[in-house]
Amino acid sequence: MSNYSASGQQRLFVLGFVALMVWGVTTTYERYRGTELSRVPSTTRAERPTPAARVSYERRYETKANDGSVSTFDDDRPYSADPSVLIERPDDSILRPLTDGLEIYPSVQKGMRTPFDLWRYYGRGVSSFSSPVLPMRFDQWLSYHRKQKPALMRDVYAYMDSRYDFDRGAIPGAFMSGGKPIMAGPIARLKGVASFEALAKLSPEEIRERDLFPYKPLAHPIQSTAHMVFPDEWVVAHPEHERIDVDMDFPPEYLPEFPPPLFLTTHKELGDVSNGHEITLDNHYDMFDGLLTPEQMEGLKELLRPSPTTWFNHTDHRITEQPSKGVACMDCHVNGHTNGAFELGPDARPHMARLRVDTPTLRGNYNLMQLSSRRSIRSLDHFSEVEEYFDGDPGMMQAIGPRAVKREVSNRMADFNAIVDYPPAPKLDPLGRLIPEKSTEQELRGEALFKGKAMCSQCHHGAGFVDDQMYDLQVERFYVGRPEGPIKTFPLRGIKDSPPYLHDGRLPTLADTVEFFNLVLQLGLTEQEKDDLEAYLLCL
Amino acid sequence: MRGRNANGTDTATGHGASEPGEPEIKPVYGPPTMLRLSAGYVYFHFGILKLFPDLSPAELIAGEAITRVSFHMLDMSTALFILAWMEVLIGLCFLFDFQLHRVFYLFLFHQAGTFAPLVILPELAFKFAPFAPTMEGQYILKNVVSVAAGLTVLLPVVRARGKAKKLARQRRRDAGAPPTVTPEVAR
Repeated sequence: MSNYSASGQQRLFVLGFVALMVWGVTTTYERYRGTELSRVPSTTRAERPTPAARVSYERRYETKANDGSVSTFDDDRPYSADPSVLIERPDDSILRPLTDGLEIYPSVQKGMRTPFDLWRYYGRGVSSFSSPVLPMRFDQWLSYHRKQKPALMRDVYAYMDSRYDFDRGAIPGAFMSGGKPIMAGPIARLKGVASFEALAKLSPEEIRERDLFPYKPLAHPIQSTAHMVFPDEWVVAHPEHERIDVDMDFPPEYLPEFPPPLFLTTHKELGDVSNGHEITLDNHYDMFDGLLTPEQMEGLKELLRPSPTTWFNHTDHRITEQPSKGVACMDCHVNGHTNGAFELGPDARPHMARLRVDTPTLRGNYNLMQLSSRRSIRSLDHFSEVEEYFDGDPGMMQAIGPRAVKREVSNRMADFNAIVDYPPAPKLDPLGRLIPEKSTEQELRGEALFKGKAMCSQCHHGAGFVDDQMYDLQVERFYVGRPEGPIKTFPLRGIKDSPPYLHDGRLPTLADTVEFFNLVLQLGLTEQEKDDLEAYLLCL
Repeated sequence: MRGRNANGTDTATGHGASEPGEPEIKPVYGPPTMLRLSAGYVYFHFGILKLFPDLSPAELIAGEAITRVSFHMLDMSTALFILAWMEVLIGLCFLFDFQLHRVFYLFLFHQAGTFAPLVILPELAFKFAPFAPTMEGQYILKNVVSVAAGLTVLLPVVRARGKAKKLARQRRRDAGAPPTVTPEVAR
């Protein structure tokens, strides 16, 4: 053996072995990716069938001669009526994946930290179906998060601070419907460019190339579990919803007021029917008996009744220290509005591909023909039925405990949902136009911009300032990231009450929203015009 | 063809003296070939797997451990990239019997890292610590065999190298050679 060891033969043998291993692993990887076990989608397109293999188009034109013989066309006729003309195959680049510069989702288990820049990743999951089993014992789960949470939250706050300047203060004299000050903006931090005006002069390609875009998506701080993250103000009032793994990443000043006022289409004369209280299962009967129909009352009760969810429940598969009764619809949609809690949209798999979504308000839902971000749900009844908080996985519902809202009950929930009104907008006339006598010059200029140069009204029009369409803003033109696809237009009526904006809350203020659309739609608005537009949005 | 230079250094492996003036000290035993090759294979194969996303079964625990050790300054893909190349390098050195005295330190660093999840991620490594490991924990604990194998291969080479250096220093002192660090510099 020692002679052999000293010889060059061994080196040759080892060299061959190494080459074989490299070839073997590489080949195996190509065969493995795209299989049901792999998180890496195959990017190899199947070979297009050759014209000869396409068959039968020609065979329909079989002709039978007098002598009984059958002649068929046997050429590339589908591509050209004239066989002498060679038709170029169409460019199939639009069929190819848009994954350049993206990475495969990291391998994580439930509870593990995930990148804050999840938009840079893509891939498929091992399964569409989840499991109600933790990757460890529950006491280990608790100690795991006790260790992880402080470091995670330090990093979350540092990350948010790197993206936004949360010290800009409020807009003087601007308040939400219930009196909470509205924060000034834009607060997104710019890097590598002096101003938003300078940024807007650059092309999408240049912004992408120089990595200057300040409004990249926001990910859930811990996407491996994700689920609802409640604002600090809510958690103080409802400590049963304090999570062991993560807290809210936005300061309370940049979230909707708590509790928000509730306006009913059926009792406009009463103004805020909540009178400053949070409506709960305990107090709703006293507050609404004699004001609602029995059907609406039943619906309201159901909206207030907690139900076990994927992570708020009585089993070990939870992110609360103590077993939880669950979450009610109106724990996020407080008083028919929103408290700014966020979740993941249940509309996609793998779990890592789900987009962070802020809780939208229920106000004015009666005007919407399309609900739920990317799911395009077409009725309030259907919406009430599918918002089960099992993250789009009915199998989890089976394991954790049935919510199992029956159709007649979900219909009642929709009955109440359908009378939650927008907040008053005293400066708007019945057609949603500013009343000149009640408006400032700046607000009127903003309205003109809204309907003109800024092109807002192209999507935001009508009673709810919404068109019930889904649009793909193609924001990935401005950064290297996974395309988010079409998302429904959000109603702008009462918009001042529901920061932060866009589906994932990446736009903390109205001013950031204006800057975002100025960039994305390449509007070329001046600083004055942007201020005018913001002033107008505060009137809606 | 492998051979030895004027200093007695094995030109391929670096065994024995490699610095001018260092004597050749033969290892007390040559690295056991089968052990060296098998350890090299394991390092190389498991290392190269980590270069392909989603192919290595150790991706999760290794990536998570390194990101934690680095206080999340390294993301998981970077961590795995570094780890993969480290393992491939160690594996190739074992397989080709190349610079083993140098790879010894990388080997120690790597092996210390492989045991880190037992302390950093006990929730993933143990069903009940410390005697009931999970599959991942068992995978890590089995590394004691890798450590023993690696040391069996590496230690004689490293010790021979150490002795050669010591002997060279002794010879320089005996020959009255000037110290390598001057008093001025020392101050």
